Amino acid sequence: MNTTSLLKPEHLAPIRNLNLRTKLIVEGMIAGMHKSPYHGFSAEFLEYRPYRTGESTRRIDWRKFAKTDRTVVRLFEDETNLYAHLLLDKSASMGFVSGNGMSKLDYARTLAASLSWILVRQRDAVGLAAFDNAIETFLPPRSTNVQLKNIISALDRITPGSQTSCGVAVDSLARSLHRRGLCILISDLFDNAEDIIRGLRHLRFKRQDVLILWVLDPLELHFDGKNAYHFEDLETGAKISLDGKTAARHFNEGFRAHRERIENACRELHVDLDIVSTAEPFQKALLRVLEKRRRLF
Amino acid sequence: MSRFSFFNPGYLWALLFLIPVLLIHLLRKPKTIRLDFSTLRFFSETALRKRNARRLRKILLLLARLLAVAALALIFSRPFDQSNPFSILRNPQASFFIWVDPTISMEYQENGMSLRQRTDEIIDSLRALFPATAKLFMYDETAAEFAYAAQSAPRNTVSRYGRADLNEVFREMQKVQGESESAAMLFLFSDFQEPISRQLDTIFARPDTLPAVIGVSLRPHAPWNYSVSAAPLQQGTTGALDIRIDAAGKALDSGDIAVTVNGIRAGHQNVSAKKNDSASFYMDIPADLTGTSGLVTLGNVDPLAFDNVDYFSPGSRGVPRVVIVGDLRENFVISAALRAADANYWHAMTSRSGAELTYDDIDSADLIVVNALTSPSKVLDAFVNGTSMTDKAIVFALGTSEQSFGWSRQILDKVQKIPELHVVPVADGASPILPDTLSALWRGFPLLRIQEASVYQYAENIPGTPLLRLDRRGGGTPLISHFMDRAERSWVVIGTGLGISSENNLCETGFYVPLLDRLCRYSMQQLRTTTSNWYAGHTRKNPYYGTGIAASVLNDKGNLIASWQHQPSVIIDEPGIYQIVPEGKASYWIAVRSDPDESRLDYRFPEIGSELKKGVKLIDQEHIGEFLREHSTAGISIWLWVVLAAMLAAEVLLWERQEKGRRDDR
Repeated sequence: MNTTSLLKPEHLAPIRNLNLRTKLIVEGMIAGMHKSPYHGFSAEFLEYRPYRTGESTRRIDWRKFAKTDRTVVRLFEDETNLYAHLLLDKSASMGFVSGNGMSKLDYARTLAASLSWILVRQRDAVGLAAFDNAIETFLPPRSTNVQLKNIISALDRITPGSQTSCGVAVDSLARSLHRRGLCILISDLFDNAEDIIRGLRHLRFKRQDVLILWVLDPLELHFDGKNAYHFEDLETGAKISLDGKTAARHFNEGFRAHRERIENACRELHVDLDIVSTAEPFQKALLRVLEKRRRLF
Repeated sequence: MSRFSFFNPGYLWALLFLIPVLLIHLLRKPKTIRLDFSTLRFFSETALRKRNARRLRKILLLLARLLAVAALALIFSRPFDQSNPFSILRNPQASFFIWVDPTISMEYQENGMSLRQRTDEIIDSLRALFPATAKLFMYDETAAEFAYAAQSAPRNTVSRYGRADLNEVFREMQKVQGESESAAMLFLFSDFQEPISRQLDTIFARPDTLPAVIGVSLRPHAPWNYSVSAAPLQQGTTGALDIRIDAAGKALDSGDIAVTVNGIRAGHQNVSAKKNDSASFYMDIPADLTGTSGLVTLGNVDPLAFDNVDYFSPGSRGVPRVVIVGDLRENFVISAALRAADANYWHAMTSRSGAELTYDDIDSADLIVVNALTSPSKVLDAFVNGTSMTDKAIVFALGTSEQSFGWSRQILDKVQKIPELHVVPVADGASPILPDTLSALWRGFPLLRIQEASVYQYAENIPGTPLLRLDRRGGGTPLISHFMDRAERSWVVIGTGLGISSENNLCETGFYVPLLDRLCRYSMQQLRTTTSNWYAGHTRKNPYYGTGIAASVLNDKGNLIASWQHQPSVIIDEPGIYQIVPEGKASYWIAVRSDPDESRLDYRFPEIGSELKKGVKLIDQEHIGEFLREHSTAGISIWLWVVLAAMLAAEVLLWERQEKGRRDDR
């Protein structure tokens, strides 16, 4: 059986349990790679050192104790060598889905959960900030399993919010950061381009490496309306009726201009930008993230 | 009631095609999908405007198509304005009836052609303006009915003598129209002389529904005409002709009159007449030619040639039938005097008292002499009250005796009201004074004053134009007068008795016989169709009707042209001299003349009753083409074609814009 096929969003969409879905994705991805699970991801083992009284017993290598009756602690190359912040856009626009696929929010939080899983497993500290017009959910970065559980639980509870203020949220997060790290922005970026760019600039100023996963529905990537549409904005509630041709022409032109602006800004700011379609297998997006992680650290 | 209707209402069913046009438009409309979309930030105002513009364009396109289909259906259904009676000119199922005035006055020559030829030209040019599928009927005077006229069929309209009967024309038209049940219009082409217009006055005054009528006047532009008329005079064995020349519209500077009797030129004279005036003169007929017939010719050329010849027949013409009504004892002298004047002429006479008088007596009489009416006469009463017995001459003596004045006045009152009529006694008697000794009535009398005659009692204020006066009251008081009553009967009224009476001594004088003869002839001469006046083409009573006598009619060449047997009325078509040969009686010659009304140039349009004004159009020949063209083209149809063209242009324009929009979208 080709486990890769199981990673297609439409197949995973019915799996409501985010934890399970995440596990399937990550394990499937790893299995498909035919390499060490932590190749390129994990921190390297350095040495043992004796357990000191009062330390947490969490890091005692009990296998070694069983073999040698010695109470020792395992040390890795860089136990907390990455602080990663996942910025998840939970605005109403993220709730859009065309066809029978997965909504952008669902896709985004699945991505976020998978990334969290991978990063925590390799002892990176991962935090979560979910926002719409402001940051609503914030989990400071931790590298523990509990953190992972918390992140997944928080992601599970997320529902589409209100209007997007991506730029404001990013800017707000940037203000709270004091340590170099990696910010992974998972959003549809349907906000004022200048605000977004201002936020990114702020992050870069704060010595953050930024990776944007621009999650879009296939219909948003290319609107090819054949019918007439009665549109209703998921965020503002505004309505408009247009024939398909007019709608396609104006949306595609507008989106192209918006995308160009964002891409140019990202190039200028050295921000990695990946456009991810909700029809695309999660594996591709995840691999891109992990590749970035590897290059950076 | 809607003002508009349709000539071809069946085509209105084509409006049902609006339904598929609408359905196609609606079905082609793309399905609208409701989509909760992530963002509308990229749909700018331009998109909205373009959407509105597209929507408007689609609606306009639909409207243009619907209007084009509707306009096409309406064009074919041929809408017309019902309130316009001349919209019939556009009706493809209409019937057009054409009547051309057949009277001789249509031979008037103008610009090298007669009015009749001009009419033919106009009719030919107008045919092209009628709808191709419309039916055309021409009136056939010979058959007295309308006949269907094919487009290329030659016409056979010929002028004739005699009157036209327009009542018959309208009746025939309604008969044909009733059979076909189609909309109809009547064209009357005429010069609209007085006799035609008089008939139309009556027809157009009727309240019943008439079809749409267009009267086209062929009246000449500056009409003028010379005409000649001759009336023979006979006093004893001598003869003379009373010749009159009328110069209407133009003076006659030098007219050459020639008289021919029995084929022999009997005399000629040069005459002149002022414009719109007449000139009269007498020409003696040689004794050896007296009593024969002939013709008088005016040698000048003028637009109407038929009236430059007149015929006369001074011999015994048709015998007038005379009925003398009144006291038989007093009135026998009247018949005796007339016989004494001209036994050959005055021999068919009947005397009746007022009570014995019958309707047959009145009906068969040409001349009615009333004198000494001493009893009421129901028949005479009915005669003067009615208008059916026309063409009668009456010599009415208002006897002033106690016995007769009342009855006579009662009769006269029914004809002419004379409130001041009263009897005037003249103790010493008064003599009649002739107005002249030159006119036809009094020519030959030696003196103006008839001294031997005395009138002792007379009725004063008799009605009519005075013919003879009494030497009384300075200027003379009328004793004899003449008038025409409303039934066109000629009345000579005498204000004293005519028979044996104490009112006067007239019957004892030599004045009596010529007086009676001339008065009776005069009264008859004032009528149009009496024994003394035969007019070509005019129907008149068979003089031998009811007598059991048959008569043959021969022309001047001796050819038989008619036999009169039992028919109540007869007609002679052409002017000329004709010989009447009654069975067992002496033959005589009559002169058949042309109707003087046709020479009078008395043109006028008829009066139209107010209810008919919209449906009757009287128009000059110069404007008929323009009028028909104006009404052949309906304003409504023109506007519908404009709408259709505009909608097609709009369709092309909107379709092009739509295609451009599609190309831009790609």
